Amino acid sequence: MIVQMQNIRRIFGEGAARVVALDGIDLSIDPGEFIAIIGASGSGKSTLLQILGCLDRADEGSFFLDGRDVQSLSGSEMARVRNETIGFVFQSFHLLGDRDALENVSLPLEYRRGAVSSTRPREVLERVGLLDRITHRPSQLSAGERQRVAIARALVKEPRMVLCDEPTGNLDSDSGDQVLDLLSELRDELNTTLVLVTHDLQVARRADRVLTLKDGRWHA
Amino acid sequence: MMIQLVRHLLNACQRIRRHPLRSGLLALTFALGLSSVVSIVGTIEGGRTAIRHDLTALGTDLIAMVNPLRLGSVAIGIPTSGEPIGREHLVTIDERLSAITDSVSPLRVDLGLTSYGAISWRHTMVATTPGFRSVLRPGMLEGRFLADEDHWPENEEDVVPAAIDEALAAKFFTDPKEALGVEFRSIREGKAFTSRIIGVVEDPLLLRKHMSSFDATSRARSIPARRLEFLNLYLPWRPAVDVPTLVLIDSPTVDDVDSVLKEVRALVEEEGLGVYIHVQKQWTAMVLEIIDRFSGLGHFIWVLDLVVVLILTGTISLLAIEESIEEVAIRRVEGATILAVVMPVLLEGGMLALLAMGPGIYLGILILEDGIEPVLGWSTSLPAKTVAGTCLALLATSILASILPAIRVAKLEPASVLGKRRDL
Repeated sequence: MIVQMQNIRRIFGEGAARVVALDGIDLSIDPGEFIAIIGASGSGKSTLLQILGCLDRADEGSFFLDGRDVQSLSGSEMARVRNETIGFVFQSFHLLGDRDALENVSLPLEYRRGAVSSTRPREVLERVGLLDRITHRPSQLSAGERQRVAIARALVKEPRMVLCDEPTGNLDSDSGDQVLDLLSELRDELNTTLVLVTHDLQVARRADRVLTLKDGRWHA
Repeated sequence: MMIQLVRHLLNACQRIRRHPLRSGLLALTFALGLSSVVSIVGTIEGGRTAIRHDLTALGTDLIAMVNPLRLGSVAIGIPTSGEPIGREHLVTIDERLSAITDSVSPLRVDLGLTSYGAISWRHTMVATTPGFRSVLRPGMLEGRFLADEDHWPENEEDVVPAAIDEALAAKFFTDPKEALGVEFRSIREGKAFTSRIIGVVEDPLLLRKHMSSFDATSRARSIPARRLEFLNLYLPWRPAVDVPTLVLIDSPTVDDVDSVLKEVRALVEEEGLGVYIHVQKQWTAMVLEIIDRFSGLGHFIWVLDLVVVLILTGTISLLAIEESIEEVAIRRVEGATILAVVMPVLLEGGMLALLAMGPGIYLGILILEDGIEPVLGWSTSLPAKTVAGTCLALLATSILASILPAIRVAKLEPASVLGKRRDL
């Protein structure tokens, strides 16, 4: 089990402004599994993704990631988990605009402890089909290419799990399909767990398992 | 640990390289701040040193035993009890004080007239002993002072060896050094004599050359005022003839003045002398205190300048970090710890300050040498300790200026920054 969550609760604000974003979520994910999480706006998808990505902590409940108790980790230990265990792919790509593709892909390795392979970013870019674009900056790339750079940045860490936040949301259907194909291939090659958040049911259907969130709870 | 530090340094270097305008602006602010501090400190320290030097040259450690002045049979000033210093007292005074002082010099001061070519000047004539040389702190501009072998000639027609003040020599020659070896014709107490200049005494009062207010003293006629003018012709003391106007006692240091003064007062008491005792230290101490306050003002400006640099660089750094908030958030998501994003910000400020130090100091020295020295007329002074202290303060300022942006970065929640662009 790579993810084991039990009774996760996350509450924002106090008094009248109190919002229960997640209300007793249980979740277990096996290694190499591809799951899709769908739900309406405000259903708690982004909060769950933040907790899964060690960017936020639950107020209650237990969360074990790859056997480690995330709730008890310090801030710097959570940063290390993000760097070594989790890859992120965002809807808006979130690439550094003043860096070329190779530098963007190399970014996570700046924070890797110990020696890192200097050829790894180039290899990953080659794998996503962008070897001829390594010196291009994001503004010189198409939307689909930018997302492939973002996927390469996630994979350069050799993560146990990749969290995808609407990865096809800013892409046309052809580019979206290419990106999803690529993610599926990489999952098969590397046995990486994929957690994908989306509005698009067509996209969600590609997953092994589809989970629906409603008002901070699983909806059957 | 070392690898991390090297990565932070490389990251800081990248930040500098990728934002040349911002980096240039920050470095320029640091350099201008440093140069202004250097020029202000250099000016104030230089002025302080110059004034201290001049005041010391005037005699901060001198004690004068002054005989009461008389105009014919009329005593001038507060009446004194006891008798004035006569020739017979000089040996006693010398024996009593020579061991604890640099010199004990009897001085006979007269107003006289000296002519050379078509130029004549009314000035003071000071007959004294060679020991007076220790009082002349700046030393000789040219030649030497009166020595033991210089005597007043027995034959009135013979030439008298004399030393001349630089300022008096300047009344006759464009270059005061030209007075050396020249024979002047002078009148003292109605008797004419010829003097040959064996030395030109350097003018200790540098300020007088540049401050017109001192010209007012040229109309003064009191001995202290005359002393300020330094328009003296120094003549050999005649032991059997000259009666001292005053005896000048030169203490080894300013700190010794009180102990020497105690001995002088005891001597005056024992010998029953009726003299005025004038201690230069008392009034020069007041002036030095004013200079110290002036110096304190300099330090205030020094601090103020650094505060201005702090505010400017802090503002630039803060604006810069606001612009790169998204980048910081991405770095945090990708595994950067708070320390890993804060360190490059701090290092960037420190590195820019280090880069700016050389040009800043150089610019400050240029301002001092080419801008301030020619205007003020005195040498500026830049103590190494002050420069080192300023550099350290600047380095601290640069780090302080980076603290606000660093705190902003440390408080950043990457999920909330990146979440604004999500559509979940």
